[in-house]
Amino acid sequence: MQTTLRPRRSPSRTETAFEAAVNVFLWAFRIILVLIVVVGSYLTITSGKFTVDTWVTLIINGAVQGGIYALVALGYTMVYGIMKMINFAHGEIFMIGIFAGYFTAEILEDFGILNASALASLFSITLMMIVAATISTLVALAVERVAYRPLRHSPRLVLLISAIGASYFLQYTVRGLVGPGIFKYPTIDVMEEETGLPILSALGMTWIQVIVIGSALLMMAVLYAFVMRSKQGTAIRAVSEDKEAAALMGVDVTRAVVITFGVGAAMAGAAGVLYGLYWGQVQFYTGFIPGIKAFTAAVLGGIGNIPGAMVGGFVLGEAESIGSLLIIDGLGVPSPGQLKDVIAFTILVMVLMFRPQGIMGERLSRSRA
Amino acid sequence: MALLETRNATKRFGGLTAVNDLSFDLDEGAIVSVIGPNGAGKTTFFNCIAGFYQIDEGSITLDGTEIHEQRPDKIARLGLSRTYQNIRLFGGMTAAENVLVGEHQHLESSWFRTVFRSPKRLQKGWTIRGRHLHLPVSSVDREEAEARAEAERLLAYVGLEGTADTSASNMPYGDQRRLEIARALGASPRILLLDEPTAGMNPAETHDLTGLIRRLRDDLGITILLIEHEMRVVMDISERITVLDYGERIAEGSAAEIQSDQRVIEAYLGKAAAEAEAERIETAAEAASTPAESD
Amino acid sequence: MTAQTATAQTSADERPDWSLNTDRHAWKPVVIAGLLFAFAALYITLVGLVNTFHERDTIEDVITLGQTMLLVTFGSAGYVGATRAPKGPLNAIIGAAVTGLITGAALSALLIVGPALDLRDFFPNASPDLYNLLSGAEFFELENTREMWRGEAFPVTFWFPSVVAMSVGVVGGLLTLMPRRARNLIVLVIGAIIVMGMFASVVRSPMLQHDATSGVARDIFSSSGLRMPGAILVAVSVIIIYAIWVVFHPRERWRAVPAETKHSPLLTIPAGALVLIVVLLLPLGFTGFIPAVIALIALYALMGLGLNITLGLAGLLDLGFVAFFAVGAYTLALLTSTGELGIAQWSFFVAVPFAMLAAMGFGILLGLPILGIRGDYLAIATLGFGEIIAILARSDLLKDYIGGPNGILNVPKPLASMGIEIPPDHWLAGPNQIYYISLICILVISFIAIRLRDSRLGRAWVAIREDEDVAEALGINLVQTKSLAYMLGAAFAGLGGAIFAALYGSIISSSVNLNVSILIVTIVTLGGMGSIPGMILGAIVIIGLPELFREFAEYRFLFYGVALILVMRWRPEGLLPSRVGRQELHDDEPALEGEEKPPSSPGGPGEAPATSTGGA
Repeated sequence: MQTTLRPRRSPSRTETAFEAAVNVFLWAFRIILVLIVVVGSYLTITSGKFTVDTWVTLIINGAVQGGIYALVALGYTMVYGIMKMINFAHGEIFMIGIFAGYFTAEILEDFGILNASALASLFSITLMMIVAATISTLVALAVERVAYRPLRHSPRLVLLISAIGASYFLQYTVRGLVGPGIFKYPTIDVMEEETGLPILSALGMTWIQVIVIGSALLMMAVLYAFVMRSKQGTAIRAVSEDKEAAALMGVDVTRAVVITFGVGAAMAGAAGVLYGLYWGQVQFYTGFIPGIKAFTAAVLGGIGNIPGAMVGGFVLGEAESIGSLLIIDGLGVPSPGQLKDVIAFTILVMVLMFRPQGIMGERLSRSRA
Repeated sequence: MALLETRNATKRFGGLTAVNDLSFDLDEGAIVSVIGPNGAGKTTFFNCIAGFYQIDEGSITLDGTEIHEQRPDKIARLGLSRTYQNIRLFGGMTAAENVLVGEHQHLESSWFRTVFRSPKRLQKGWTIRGRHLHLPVSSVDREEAEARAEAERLLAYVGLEGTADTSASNMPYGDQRRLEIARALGASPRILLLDEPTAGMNPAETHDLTGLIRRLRDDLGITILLIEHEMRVVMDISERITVLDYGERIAEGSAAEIQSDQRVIEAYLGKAAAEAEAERIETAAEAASTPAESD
Repeated sequence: MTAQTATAQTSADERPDWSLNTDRHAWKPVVIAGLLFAFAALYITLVGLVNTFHERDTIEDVITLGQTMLLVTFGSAGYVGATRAPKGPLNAIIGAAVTGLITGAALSALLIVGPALDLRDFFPNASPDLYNLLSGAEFFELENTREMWRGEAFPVTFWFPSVVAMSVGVVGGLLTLMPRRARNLIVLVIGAIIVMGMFASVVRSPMLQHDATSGVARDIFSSSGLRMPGAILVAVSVIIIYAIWVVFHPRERWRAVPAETKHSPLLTIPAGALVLIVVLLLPLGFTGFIPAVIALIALYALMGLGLNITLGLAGLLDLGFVAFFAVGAYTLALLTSTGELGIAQWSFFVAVPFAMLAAMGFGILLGLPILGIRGDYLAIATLGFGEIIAILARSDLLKDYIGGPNGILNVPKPLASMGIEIPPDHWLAGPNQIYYISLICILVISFIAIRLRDSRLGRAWVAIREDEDVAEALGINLVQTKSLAYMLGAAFAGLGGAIFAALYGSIISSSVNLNVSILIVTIVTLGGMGSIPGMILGAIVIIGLPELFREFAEYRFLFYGVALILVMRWRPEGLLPSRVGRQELHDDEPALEGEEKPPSSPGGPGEAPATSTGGA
């Protein structure tokens, strides 16, 4: 049975033209973006519109926001590392944390504990964070059990759509439970005051800012120690790297996954309280956009990489805070604050396009397999 | 000049060097096997050639053209096709459709003409009062028909006659392996990389497949590079065998040469076995050179 | 063994075992089921579903939809409890009772705890109305005062939900003991009554228009549900239809969607003609807001078909679909609006191609950079783009051109834009114009999709979707092929946006949001990826239902979320899947031994993620 082999076909002219166009386009994209950043910054700085104080305030704000992003990003990065899926519902876990904190705060206020004294306030905040972390964890574990675990052998697309479904379900459940309104955190008087501490008060930092950044750093340190030193943490890292090998070594994969979800959710829940304390209000859809931005932070730092998530979070927070004034305002855009979110999304796309392994990810191979 | 040449190809994954300074020639029309213990880097080597991985050092040339920095689809268009260690068919498609995807680079139809061609009904036409009226057959339909015929021919060639419309995921294991080969043939390759084609097959199927591989070279003139663990196949059809271990080439030669090569034995069976084998050969040699005791 | 003992043995086996299983562990699944259903019962009450649905009758003066929800929950609890109980009819009944009781007890607990703690601060739905409903106040004709709900005492009848739940649960459990046919029949009758109750207002409205049917309509339907005679009518009809069906298909089990059946042409042609007539005349049978709903369904079906090419064929999860929708809508608005932001007063039909071209242009612009990214990351990247466009739409930066939050107004309907005035009652009034235009577009897109699907390009798309790396190794240029799918999807999204602007006479920035993208993705996913009839069904369900039932509208995303999770779990290929989808996603036949499914494309955007190691 003979078949004939056909002669080689060289690509048609349209194909080569298209190729060339794509390359030109990608380069133009890069150049335009660099130009925007450079020109915008230049114009802002030379205009002298903003004082050093303004920049310092922005940097501090950026650190606060960045700390929150970092905590939420940890959940994304850990879940991606171990399950190779994007937990779309993580932003809602964060939002549930904010609400849990709110309710706890309301109760504490009704009982007069919230503002009784500085110590009482500190105790209150800690309690709020514990409650929020617990509730977020419970919800996250339920979601994992119902929406993700049955699908762990399904194609990635199916899992992602299920995650989207879970995200919407959580959002609208909360909306159904508490209503669509805005919920304002009760004020904790102590928090608004400037710290009496030497360096920090020179920067004009208030207690709330210190607490947010401080707790964030503390939690990250604890998490890092857990993942690096403890037996369970090592198990998680093993499963992240090679699920089958870990299973063959006797690691309980399901338990590792559950613990990962739990820890990530606890971080996010606590971060929710910090968010609520800082920004003061919450609605049922408040978790969504910060969730995507936290994911951006995780990708920016290197998905699957825990220190990377921390770095990415702070970098993104600063970029947002400084960028809107530095770049966008410089270009003469009215109401630059409106476009703040654009910064985050642009960073996301740029990272995915040009450096997908993020800041701290290792370039193991340029592989397509 | 050999059809496929690699020079000092090196591929690292972080701290692990999977392919180490590998230089290798593949002449046109040859059937060459690459063997080695598990983890020796054979599939990685294939992946590098096919463009799945980019080598960190060295070069790979196909018929004079450097391919080590090319995308896989460019490499495919230069005449290289492959199959996979774990079968990777398009499960949602039929056998014929799988092969048709293989023929992709040889089909020309633009999407514009695909949308706007005249319907088949009008092309078949009607006969009115002895005269046959029809719209001209569109080039798209003609090309599709030819491609489909070719697909069926290829399926028959690999021994899958009549399975054209069977869903790929419903086919038995042995047939799926053949289908993967048929799909690779759809691209009319000059060189075919086969990654463990007989894995999981029983002796009868293995024998058939070995014959098929030979025919690919004898009938179609395709150069074959083969990764195999089944030694009978390797020794049977290979003109030359290259042995890898830890990403390096440790031996190369004919079947006989490889079988008695110490380093190869050591790689597969360990040092003790190699030494035992060496002793055995020595003793045999001594016995042969010692004159027989005569009465 | 003699014949006698054999028969004695078999008859012993046939007699049901009425013993009671006392093994504690055997009852654990029952208790767990009870707790799950208790959680579900609390959920639907606190989320407000019961309250909201209480507004709508299932059978007027007999039972409301809210109460029906509760009863169905109780019955299901009992059913599940019975199936999880140890074997034996007595055990089953007890299992059903236990799960029912636990479920009801949760609600009873709510009745005790709720008023005492005044949960309304946290959960507005824990209201006196809810408590009245749960405690059966109307049945006992109790005047539960408002003060009572403020924590003075808990309701006298706090045990009511527990008792009801247990009883209904036992009924549910009894269903498991019935023969299959009887069970199916009961479920069908109940289901039919519920569904007809929900659809009552839709069916009633055209019937009221005509004298011949209006009398009957008033007898059968109330303003929001069935009347008793109507319920009886539904029940009897279902029984009759079921009986007929059983006679003709004695052995077949009921399948949600029939397997590939071959229809004889004798049946298809008149059936097809009937469908065609219904589709063409559909909007004419209704008045009020329903024609606009029908037009909207057609519009979303159109966009679903567009996304079907990108997602269903090529497997690109585009969560930023709304971006192209926006481009198309704003372009059309700019080109046809008679208001101050309109830059030309072109007719609708001239402007639409330009809207599509603009959308396609954006498709290339946004697509090229990101189409090298893989899998999940592509989805997030497209999401980002969608959000960027949404932000730009309402920004001050572009306010002078496209109106900011107020958008562009005074977009004329298609015929009006050509200067043809149509009186509102005419059959070619505004929404109907949109409907017919959408129908034509649906036909065109379907045509294109079918043509492309069975071609080289279509195969390349499916190959990319199934196994991108292998597709590339076979000579397929990934970026180019994906771009084509992406651009086509963008073009049709733009078309949808343009029609949308014409339908509502304006385009405002709040219409440009992620929910639109998700809605269309849900339509494609639930309907069946790659399948055209699936798309249409999806649009009807997802767009039509909330529009027709306002109570659902508030909770629509809740239902969509649940639906997505359930469908991905049980039927990922969708409700009306294409052949390919069914093969890919729903292997009914297990793989042969030693075989593996082709691995899906690895995660990571084109590069190995930091934590992976290389292959052997």
